[in-house]
Amino acid sequence: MINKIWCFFILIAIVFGFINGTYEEVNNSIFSSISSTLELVITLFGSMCFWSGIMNIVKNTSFINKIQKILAPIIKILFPDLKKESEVYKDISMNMTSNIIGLGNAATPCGLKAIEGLQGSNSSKNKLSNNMILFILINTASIQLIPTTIISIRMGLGSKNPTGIIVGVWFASIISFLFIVFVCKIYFKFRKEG
Amino acid sequence: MRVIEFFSKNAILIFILIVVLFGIREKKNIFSLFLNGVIEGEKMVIELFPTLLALIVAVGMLNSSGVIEIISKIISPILNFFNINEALAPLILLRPISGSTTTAIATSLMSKYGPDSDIGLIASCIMGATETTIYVASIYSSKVKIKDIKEVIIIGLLADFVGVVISVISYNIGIIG
Repeated sequence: MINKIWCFFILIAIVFGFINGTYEEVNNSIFSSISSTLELVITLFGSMCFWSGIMNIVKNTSFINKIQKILAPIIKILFPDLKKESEVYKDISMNMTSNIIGLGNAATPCGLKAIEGLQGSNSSKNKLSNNMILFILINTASIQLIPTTIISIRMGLGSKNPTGIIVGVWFASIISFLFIVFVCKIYFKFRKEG
Repeated sequence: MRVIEFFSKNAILIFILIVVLFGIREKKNIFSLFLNGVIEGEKMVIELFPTLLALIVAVGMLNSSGVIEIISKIISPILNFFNINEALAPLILLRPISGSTTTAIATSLMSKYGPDSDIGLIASCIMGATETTIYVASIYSSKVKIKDIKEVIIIGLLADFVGVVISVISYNIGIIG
């Protein structure tokens, strides 16, 4: 996918540059983009490392269990038919917790285990079950306690208040999460499983 | 509003305070945990660099060719209806597909208009509040070898759009900034 996008971008930019007469700007933008990438990476370097350090403390204290406890009633509402002791439940809980504290690298492996677990109890193996649909959608909802990457970028670009977006991000992601749950719950009433 | 302002200015301090207190209470070696995390972060940035370089250059070329303005004009009626600035069009269109591409686009938007401008703030909010829906859905569905993911994509994209609209509203009612 990304391979196609990249080739497409470059081709369009060059061809359109010649048609539009902006080829000189296109040419110059290569060199200015290289130096701005380098500047960005240097500033990102510090704050990404810092956040990764803080999140590693979170991962190794019972803070993470606290988040899981808070999530338990929510998972109960989302997946009422899952047993708390089941392996799938634990994977889902870990996946959501990792997403919330922004550990994308930790979230994906448990998410993949969870989807396999859900597939195990899926009645028709080549169609997504309701639980699977909801689970994937939750992973596309991006609920995050601290949106570290974007804050790092804002810091790097010299924002006066890099964290000023946090409440807005929570607001927007919670509304889109509720939207997903609401639409799914209604849709599942009409959808035939299996 | 003052509570929100206090919170968004101090969320990070409060968060770090809680994390450190947890560490102290559980007698963990906070310092070495932090350092180990930093080492992981180093790897992340190093891994990120090639994609960022490739994409920021490509996005820069695309921007300077003027083609983005034309695309934005084409879809501007829809955007105007939801009060969304045309400059955000490429970000919104590519967000579901590629995280690194949109990181590059958001970065160039913020360096062009400023991270604290309306466009910079809304772009940040969109980046934080939406996910790479199509990408995520295809990773999970390919794990269980299911090809039919129409429903997931449709609901996911609608939810992303809700996220975009709410980001704009958040800016307009003043809870980001």
